[in-house]
Amino acid sequence: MRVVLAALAAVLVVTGCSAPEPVAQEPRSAPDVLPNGYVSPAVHSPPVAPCPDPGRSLNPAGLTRAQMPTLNRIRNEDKRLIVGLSQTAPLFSRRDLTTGEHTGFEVDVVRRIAQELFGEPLSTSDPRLRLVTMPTGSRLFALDTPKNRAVRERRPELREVPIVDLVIADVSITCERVQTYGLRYSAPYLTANTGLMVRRGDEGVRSPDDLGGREVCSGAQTTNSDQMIEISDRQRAEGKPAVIPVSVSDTSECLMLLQRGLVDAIYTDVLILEGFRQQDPTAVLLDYRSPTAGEAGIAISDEDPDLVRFVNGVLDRMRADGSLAALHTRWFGSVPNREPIPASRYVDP
Amino acid sequence: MVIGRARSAAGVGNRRGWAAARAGALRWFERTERRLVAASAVLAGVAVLLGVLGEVAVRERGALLDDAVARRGASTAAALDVYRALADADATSLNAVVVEAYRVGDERKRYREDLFDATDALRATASLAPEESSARRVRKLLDHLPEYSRLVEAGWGNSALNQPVGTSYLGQASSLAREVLLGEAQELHHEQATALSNAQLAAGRHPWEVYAVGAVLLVLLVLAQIYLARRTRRQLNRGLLLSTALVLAALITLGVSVNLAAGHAADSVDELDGVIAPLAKARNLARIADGDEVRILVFPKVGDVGRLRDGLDALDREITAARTGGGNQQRVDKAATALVSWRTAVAPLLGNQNPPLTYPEMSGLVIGTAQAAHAQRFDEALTDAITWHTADAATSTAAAKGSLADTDLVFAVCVVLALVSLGWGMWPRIREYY
Repeated sequence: MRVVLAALAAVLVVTGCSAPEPVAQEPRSAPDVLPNGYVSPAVHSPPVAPCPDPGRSLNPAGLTRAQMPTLNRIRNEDKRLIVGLSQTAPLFSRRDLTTGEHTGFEVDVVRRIAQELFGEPLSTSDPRLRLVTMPTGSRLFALDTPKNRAVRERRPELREVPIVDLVIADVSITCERVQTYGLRYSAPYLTANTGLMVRRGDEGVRSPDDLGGREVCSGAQTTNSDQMIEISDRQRAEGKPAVIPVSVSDTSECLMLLQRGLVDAIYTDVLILEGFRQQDPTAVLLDYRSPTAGEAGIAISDEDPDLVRFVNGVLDRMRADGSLAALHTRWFGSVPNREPIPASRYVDP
Repeated sequence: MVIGRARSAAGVGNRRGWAAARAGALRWFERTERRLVAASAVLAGVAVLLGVLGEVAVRERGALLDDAVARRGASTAAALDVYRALADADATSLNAVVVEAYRVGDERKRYREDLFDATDALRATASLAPEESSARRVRKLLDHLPEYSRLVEAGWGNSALNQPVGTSYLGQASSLAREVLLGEAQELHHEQATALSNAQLAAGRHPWEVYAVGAVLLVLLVLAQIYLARRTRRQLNRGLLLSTALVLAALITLGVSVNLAAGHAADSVDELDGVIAPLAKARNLARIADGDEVRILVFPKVGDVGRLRDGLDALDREITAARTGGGNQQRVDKAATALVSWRTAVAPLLGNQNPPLTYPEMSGLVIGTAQAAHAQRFDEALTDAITWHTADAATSTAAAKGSLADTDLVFAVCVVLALVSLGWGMWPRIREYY
């Protein structure tokens, strides 16, 4: 009996002296907050049937007084030119959110077009030039083309996209857009290579090959994103560490992701990257340039050939009098090794 | 074969044992005084059971109503404050970059107050509703709030320098608010409101188990009365009669009290579900619509205009639901009038304008003083109506609790007195036989 009592006492003493077990804390970490449309790894855009050079536009020489229905409508009936552009692309077109005033290379180009259309310089508040901000990702639905009208019938939500006469928003000239929207491009007014941007401290990076295993951001379904996917595939095939292509629905979100440390680099048009660099002094635009360059054109409905010819005429006159080059230097002069303004190409003599 | 025989012998033995016990019990009950003792014991046992069950039933219902008044009501209000503060923060975070310079400070201050209010209300909800599901939602909201705040502040900083990346930050913050924060806040409020309604409905439910035991006791008392009348040739046993009356009184008191409590609780639930819920939903939708308007201005996306149009239509429906649900007419009418003015003011924004509106026209509609005043008036009218009806519902809950006040005491006294009367009635008869 004594033995039992002694054992019991020993157990109680040991139990009483043992330290209480700490409550195990659930391991937790800060949640990642990513924009809608963020895809990692990015997905290649669907293949597009080849088409004749979509950058070959309509010759302004073909514009005659008898065939100017759209120009007559704009000048005499509507008495206004409605232009869709971006509000978040520094150097191209940005808007002051408080005053609503637009500034940028494309804004200056469109002001010249409006000036020649109405025959006199227009003040910034002149109602004859209406600058309209396009919903992100849907700007080309704003053109009144047969294909867009059919899509608007199927997707009623697109009816809230305003109808405009032309869209000038660094629209890359591609066959895919011609086929999807039924639009026609002006002659190209801008050429840009693709460049690479990293954060300060990453200057050791020279090209995508130095970014193996790291995330590189581009706009979804763009040629830049497709190129980065191809670079990643090539690196993998060569047995090198591959970059991780990431895409977002709006390229301007890449800068936010870079600043927040959620991506390691941005791969897009070098002129856009220069706009990013001016917004963030800690972002570094590298010397790397893609071997191929893309062109931008003004998008117009394919039902408005007279407007296309008129716009091409204005661009040609701007090329001839040096004003396009002057604007190019004014807005993009800080970009090293920038491509020159492209020459116009026409399908008709 | 041997085992089978043994089993058979054991079975016969058991049957004989049971038969002997039964015969013994019957022999014991042959004497009247022993039957009376047994009957008294059974009656007393059932009476005690009735007393215990009745007490438990009344106290449970009282506790549910106490909980509804002191905890659930407060946690529901706090969860509603979370949603409203976050929806308001979403609208003001965007307003702060588009209003005239002299209004920027006010908008930023309001945003920061909204975030403080949301955090404060979350703290209150966490302490009042520690259940796992609510705690998980509170944790998720608290996890995201610092990042939300960082995104907005970064957006403001960049926008103040006219850097377009500010728009990306604000757009991301707004998406976070709408897709994560407001969704969680809505679920949190729904859980609390449902728990509040359920608690009140449970408190108003009749304790059928008590009534059943009470009915059994009454039947036994009547049978005992009949038995005594036959055995003692006395017409009525006064003790048993009084005991029966007291049990009946206890049951009636309980039934009437619970019935009254159920009526008041149902009034409160009707007000919560039929009036306060649609008004609260309308107030939340109005904050969302306010944010939608600014989004159209700051970073338009396809579907924004349609969503705003649908949101304003939904406001109409919720106001109508509150009216038909019994909302205070004067207060609901005030909100409806403010809504009509608001919708009229922003109508040009909702149509497919051709030509599209200019930026000054749009900004005038979205952040102009007329629009802001109508939206503000609508919010104030709804807040006033919600506050008034919430107080009214709380009064009904308190009345339900009042209906049960002292019921436990009256019930206990009745049952104890019934027991005493039982003894008073049975003891002299038992003694007569000994």
